[in-house]
Formats: sequence, C-alpha cells, structure tokens
Amino acid sequence: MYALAAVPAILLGAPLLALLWRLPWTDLTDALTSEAATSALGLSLVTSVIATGLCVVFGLPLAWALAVGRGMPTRVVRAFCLLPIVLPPVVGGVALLLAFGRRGLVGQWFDGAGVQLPFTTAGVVLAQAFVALPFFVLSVEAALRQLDEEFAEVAQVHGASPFRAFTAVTLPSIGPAIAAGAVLAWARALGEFGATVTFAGSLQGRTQTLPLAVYDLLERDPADAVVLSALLVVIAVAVLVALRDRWFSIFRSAEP
Amino acid sequence: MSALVSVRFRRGPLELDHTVPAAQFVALVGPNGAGKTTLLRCLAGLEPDADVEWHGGRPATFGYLPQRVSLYPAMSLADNVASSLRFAGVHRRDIAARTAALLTIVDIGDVANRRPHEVSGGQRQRAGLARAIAAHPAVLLLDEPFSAIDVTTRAMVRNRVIDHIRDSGARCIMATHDDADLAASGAARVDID
Repeated sequence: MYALAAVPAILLGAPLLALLWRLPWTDLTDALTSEAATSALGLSLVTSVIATGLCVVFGLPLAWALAVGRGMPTRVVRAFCLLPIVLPPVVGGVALLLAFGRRGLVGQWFDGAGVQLPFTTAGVVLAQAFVALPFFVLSVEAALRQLDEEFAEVAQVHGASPFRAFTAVTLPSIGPAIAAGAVLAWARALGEFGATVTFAGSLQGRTQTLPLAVYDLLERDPADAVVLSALLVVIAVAVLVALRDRWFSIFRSAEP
Repeated sequence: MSALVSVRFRRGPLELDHTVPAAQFVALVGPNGAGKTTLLRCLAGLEPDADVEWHGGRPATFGYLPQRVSLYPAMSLADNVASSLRFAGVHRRDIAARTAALLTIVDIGDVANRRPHEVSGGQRQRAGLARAIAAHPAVLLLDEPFSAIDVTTRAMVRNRVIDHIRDSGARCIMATHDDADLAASGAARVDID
C-alpha cells in the first residue's frame, strides 16, 4: 500500500522539487527585476486585486440570493455560477469573446459606447473575475446557509430594517467565510491563464500577467521562467497556509 | 381585565387561540410543546401566517429574548446590548453609559468584552436580557428569561430586571416554568396547553 501511495506522492511532489532544483539561486534578483518580470508582476497584482474586489462586491448579493432562494430558478442560477470551475478556462475565454468581444452579444453595446474589453487590461480583469467569482460565491453561500436565522430576526424585532440586520449582524458573523472566499478567488485570479490569453492576449505591460509571462519566457529565457514559476508556487503555498482547513470545508458544504 | 392582544395561529398539530390580558406582567405557563415559544414569536411579528390583533394598536417597539438567546455571534456582549440602543436610534453619545448601566443590572460587567461563544449559557442569558430591555421598548417578550442563570444569583438578577421593567413602564410577556418568576413580578397567568 505504501508503495502504491508513493506513486501519486511522487507525481505531485517531483515537479515542485524539480522547480526548486532548477531555480537559479544566484540570478534570483536579476530574474525578478527584469522588465518582463516586474511588469507582469505589477499587472498581475493590480488586475487580480481589482478582480477580487469585483467578486466581493457582486458576489455577496449573488451568494445571498442563492442562499435564500428556493426551487428550480435558484438551482439553475447556481449551476451557471459554478460552471466556470469545471469549464476549461480557454473555453471560458472563447465564451467571453462571444459575449464581450467587439461584435459580441453584449460587447457591441460597449463598443458603441467606446469601451473596449478584449485585448485590454480591463479584459484581463474581466477574465479573472469570470473564473474567480464561483470560488467566492460558493464560500459565502455555504456560510450563509449554515447560519442560524434567529439572531437576524432578533435584530429586526429590536427595530433594525432587514438591510440593517443583514449588514450589522449577519455580515460580520460570516466575516471569516468572506475572507476565505476572497483569498481563494484572488489565488484563482492570479493564476488565470487560459481565459486571459484567449480573451485578452499576451501583450507585455498591458495584458501579460505572471502566468502568461512564464509561458512566454519559457521559450526565450527558461531560467527566468523558472524563477517566476517559483514565485507563483510561493504565493500558492502562502494561500494554503492562510486558509488551512477552511479549503475543504468550503467544498463540503457547497450543496444544501 | 381588558385584553391586550389576541393571537390565532395554526401549524400542523399546533393550534393556538389565546388572549393576553392587559396586565403589566403576564406569564405564559404550560408544558413543553404547548406553544409558548411560538406564541411569543407570533407576538414578535416573526410568524407571518399568524392572526395577531393588538386591541390598542400594535406597539411601536419590542424587546425580545428568544429561548436560545441568539446573541449576535460576531459582537461582544457589550456590543450586543448596545446594538439595541443603536437600532432604536439612541444618540451615539448616550450609548456607552447606558450600556454600562445595563451590564451592571445583569452583573456581567467583567465579561462584557467577550464574545458569546466565550462565556457560559447563564452569562449569555443575562446579556440577552440586557439587550431586550435596553431601549425601553413598549412590549417585552421574554422566553424563559431566567432559566439558565445559576441558582445563587438568579433571584437577584430577576428582581433587578423586574424592577427595571416596572420602572420603565413596559409591558412584559414571558414564558416560564418557574413559579418564582410569577411571584416576583405578580404576573397575570395565562395557561397554554
């Protein structure tokens, strides 16, 4: 059994060890301060933080609606919300192009108003938000479902409006789930590749985020690609440490 | 005695049809499952299907202590009490002093900064009592208000809270199994069965 268990452990562990093995320790600072790296890092941080902010602002009401909603319509909307998790990201990118591209379903109006999304930094944010939103919504909806409704009732009996009861009493009590959902969404946004490259391209300084830079550098300067990869690994490990056991509880409680 | 409020409510096997007299203190007495908690929920406006008729018009403000207390989990005990003052629109500068006075009445000043899961059931109930009476509501709905408080201090807390209610002029409707609650408040008894 131990021998069998070693096979997947090697499968999961070997690539990470190889990455560390090949890390050019002496050139770390050079690689991290190269123009491609700094612009990708800056762009990634800015876009992923904005995308996470959008997920929080729009994800909260959506999670609430899913948590209190009943019946078929809610189930259909939830299925749509979860789709980006199982969808191949490149397909998400194609779908985004068809929706928000210059001649897209919605994009033609944006284009008419002079707003361009595909192959722009805003497009990067949109692609990241698209793939990250489900992680936030799932986390918050699960927390709202598990919540005891009685204390929100008490607040209303004591004179709070339903909205005030939600913001003053309900929201603070799901703070940890909101934080965990935001961290998950941010990690997903930061690592986004397929939807971004399809919908926004890979233009250095405009749409080339860290993962895209890694892919681009792999052909020109493999050592630098390894350094940026290691940076993403460090961030991923930090996210795991930050979330610890919350990660699993989020998925356990996703369905009612 | 004239009637304060009449309630009719049906859910499954539970059928309620009761009139609460217009005494300052009313005790709802009856076995478990008779519907005391549900009757209080109806009075609190939490059962939309209930037929509730307030004979002198619906009171403007309520204080409510549910059976499970249900303190706000993210707030300290002091903030739980202060929240009722905020919801009632009490001026910001008065809230701290009034909260401190309420915490003294129920004798939880020493744990006021702890959150509900960090204190005992009796301390939670005291905080819930303070939260209910905080803003001087017109009607208090208390579900077994002193049941979790330890025997040595229960009488003291009970007397203080009842005095506070008596002074504020609020009407108090409580569900109880404890004859001492009736004796201390001189409550009119309504049998629920």
